[in-house]
Amino acid sequence: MPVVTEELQLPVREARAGEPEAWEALLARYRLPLYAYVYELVHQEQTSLDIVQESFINAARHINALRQDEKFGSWLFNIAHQKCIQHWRKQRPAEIPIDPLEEDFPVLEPGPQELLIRKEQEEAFMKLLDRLAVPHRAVLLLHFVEDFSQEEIARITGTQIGTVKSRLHYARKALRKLLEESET
Amino acid sequence: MKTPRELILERHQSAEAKLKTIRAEDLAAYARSAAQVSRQRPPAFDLFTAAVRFWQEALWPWRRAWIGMAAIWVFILAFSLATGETPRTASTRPPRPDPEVLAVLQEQKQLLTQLLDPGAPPLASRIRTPGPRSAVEPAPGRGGGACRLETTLRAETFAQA
Repeated sequence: MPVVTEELQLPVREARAGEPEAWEALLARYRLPLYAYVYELVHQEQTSLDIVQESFINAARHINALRQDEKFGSWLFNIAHQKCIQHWRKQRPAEIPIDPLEEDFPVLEPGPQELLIRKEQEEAFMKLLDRLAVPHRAVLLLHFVEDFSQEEIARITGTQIGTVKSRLHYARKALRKLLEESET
Repeated sequence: MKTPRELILERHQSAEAKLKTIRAEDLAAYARSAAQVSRQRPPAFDLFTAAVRFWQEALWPWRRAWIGMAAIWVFILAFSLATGETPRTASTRPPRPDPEVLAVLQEQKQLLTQLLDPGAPPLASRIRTPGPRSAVEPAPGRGGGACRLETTLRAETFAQA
């Protein structure tokens, strides 16, 4: 499985010029992580596929508005995140997921690569991920799947950086507890 | 041992075939058309750009003429200050109208009213100046006769007494 590649190598300028090869490279790099993120939030295969496709089309249409090429990844995830929110609004307007814990935890978090999951813990990990509240799940997925910085996660989810720290702290704490339980 | 990223992406690996239906050519076409539209769209108004453009198109090509004009104005100003003359401004207040002219105007106004409405009495006749009260005769039928009779009766009663 390839590690998260450097955003600087992405052919964003060529994609802006409308080169199909550049878009092929961007698709190859982002379509699966984006799908995984969207699916873990909405839990519907067809909806997730539609959201990924619409996100890429929106990105192609508005790529001229992107100021920093190296931020393409977080920008694309932000488009997809907004589409997930639109989907929730259509489905259940009264039940848009909100954050149950908004405290600030100024704790330095280790990177996602530091957490390793054993074979027997895999299923428990995915179950825990599903059990987390949507805001915590979103933050944890962005942290794990793309290793976005806390600033980037805040920008993608449209929240304060303190809220992102709080959610990450809560989610990681719950995850560690589960992994410790499965070890014993 | 796997990282969470590996685990999450593995879980969705089966969707890769469906995701490949998103065509790069279509996205490139969208990007090209968006770029064309943004090129055709006039740029937003920018004060600095407008100022530079004004300088380049209106001022700089005629710089000698502008400098000459400026020199003339400076000379006029200096001359005006040196002689101590201040420009006389015309009085904005209109002159008071002559009473004779006012009277003529009033007369013309009356004539115009008479011409427009011939049945109406002349303006001067409608405005009556009240005379002394003794000169005013009581109008007939409004109790004038009765008043006179009452006065005569009172005089006779007093004489009998």
